[in-house]
Amino acid sequence: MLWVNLSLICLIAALLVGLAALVQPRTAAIGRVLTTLGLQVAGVVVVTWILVQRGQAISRQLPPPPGTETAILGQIEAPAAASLLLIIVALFWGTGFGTFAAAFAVGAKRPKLALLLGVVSLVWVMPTFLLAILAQDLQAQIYNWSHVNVSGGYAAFSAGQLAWSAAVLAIRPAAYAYRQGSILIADQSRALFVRTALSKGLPWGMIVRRHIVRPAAAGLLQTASSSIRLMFGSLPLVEFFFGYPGLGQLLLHGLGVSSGDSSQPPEPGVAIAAAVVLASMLAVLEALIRVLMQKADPRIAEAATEAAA
Amino acid sequence: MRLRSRILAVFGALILAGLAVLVAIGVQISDFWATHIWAGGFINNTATLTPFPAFSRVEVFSLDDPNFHQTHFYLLGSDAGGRDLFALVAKGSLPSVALVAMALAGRMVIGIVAGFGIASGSTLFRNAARAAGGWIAGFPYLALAVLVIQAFTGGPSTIAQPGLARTLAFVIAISIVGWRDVAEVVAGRIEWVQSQPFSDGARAVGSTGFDFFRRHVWPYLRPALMVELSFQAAAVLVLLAELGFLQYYLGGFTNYSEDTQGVAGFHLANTPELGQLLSDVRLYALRNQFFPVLVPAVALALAALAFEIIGRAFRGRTDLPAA
Repeated sequence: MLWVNLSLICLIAALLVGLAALVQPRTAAIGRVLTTLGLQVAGVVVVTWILVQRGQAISRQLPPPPGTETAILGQIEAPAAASLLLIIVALFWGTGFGTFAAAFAVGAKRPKLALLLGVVSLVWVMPTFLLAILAQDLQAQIYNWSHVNVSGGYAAFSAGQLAWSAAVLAIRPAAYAYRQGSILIADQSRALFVRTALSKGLPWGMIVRRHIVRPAAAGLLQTASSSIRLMFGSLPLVEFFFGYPGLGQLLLHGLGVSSGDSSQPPEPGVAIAAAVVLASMLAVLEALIRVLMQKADPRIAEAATEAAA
Repeated sequence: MRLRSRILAVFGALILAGLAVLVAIGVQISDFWATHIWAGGFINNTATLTPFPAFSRVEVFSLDDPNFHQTHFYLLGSDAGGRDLFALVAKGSLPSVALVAMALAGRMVIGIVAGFGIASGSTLFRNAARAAGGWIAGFPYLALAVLVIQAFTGGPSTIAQPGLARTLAFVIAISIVGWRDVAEVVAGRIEWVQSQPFSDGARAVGSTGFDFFRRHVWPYLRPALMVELSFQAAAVLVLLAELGFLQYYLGGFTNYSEDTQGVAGFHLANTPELGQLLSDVRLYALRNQFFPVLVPAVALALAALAFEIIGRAFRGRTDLPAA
């Protein structure tokens, strides 16, 4: 019943925030974002609970003993912190780098560089585990060459493991952010006001910053949001491969996926908690981006207000 | 069509055609070399354990009966059971392609229906589609796919030969994960058409319903759907590979352990399937045996790359004119 109660609490909180936003029109924009967030989390909790319960029923697993659910918080605390740290590092390396590279490719006005980056961005279609294998092979090559173990260990949190996991996790989102970002920025660079700025003799660097990247900021944030979604999607796989003690690995272990010979007994409560916390992290980050988008382009908030009216 | 787009489209089509030819050649190899397990073999009279290297002629001896010898040329090497990787990947790609086609069709159908709902349905349907899209977006895609498969099958793949329920679970899981993007594209196109002056003109002369859709919506929707189909095919292939890595795949397997030290055994497919071939990636990687990993993974990645390139080639053509 814990999960149903939690879902109801989220639902009621979302409705209260929505009502408050209706009473206080000044907070309407933020209120809408928070209401959506609450509804999203409530839906995620219920759907996850239903899916896991159904899986349990099909595999004819015994229900967990009473009181197990109360111990879940202690089990997910450390993995949640580890996953959050991994996401933050990968966010800067992946989404940040990809967006910056897109702006740089346009700003540098070098078609060959843009073409090269475009080809590199095709790495987006490679399965993440292939990238992880390449990273593991790179670790081995570095060890063979320098006799220094740079892997950062296995199945234990360390700076080295965080760095490798974040690097692998960041590659596909970086490629995605570059791919979408470069399209947006290239479209913006063909706008009439950019030509006007050029004809007035403004330096190209300033035109890129002020007249290309700034108007495209809302679109770039939307791209960042999709890139982050991609990152969260690959998180369980990367954590499972490197044995990184985060929520993704906890989710898979909770569902009975084992990395060794011995089978892993499923822990439905842990699986639900891990999925819900992971999805909540994603929802909060997306809500944050929606707020930033409204700041970057006030027309988005106005359009939402009109649609709601 | 610009020259660059044409080159990209031809390049993508060539990759797909090349893969198709390789599959056609690979399936001609006898099933025996894709199913029988070999303990080891001799290459130039030197005893060699599995997996065998690529471009090697090996005199193999059977696991069941060491006196049963055969000679075979391994073009792309073998897996841990001494089975021909070329034959395995070629034969395994057929059920995988069927699965991808079904999942892709599911994604497109759900996406198109939801897109129509968002763009032109009743307020209730629009809100329901948007809310469901929000929930789907709220889930990390791999976690959602795993949870849906788990809900239908009870857990990761087991040694038992699975039935239709497992295939259905995969189709539903992969369809549910990616329909939102398709829905957004469809809704965007329909809303754009509805806001155009030619649309008002068509309505004014009495064009409604299917006639309006066929004459005014479909010409703008079709190219966008073709591009989206290409991108979605690439995404489905990558998802299938990642699910295989996490032990979620279609076929059953034979557990093949090299020792009795409690080290995890290889899952050798009873009926080859690409996702299943990728389920032992970690074991091979730990042993620095990269060929059994790379051959199926590269086959999947190449197919995904081809679809991505074709999508990119046609994308510029389908951009809507500025308002």
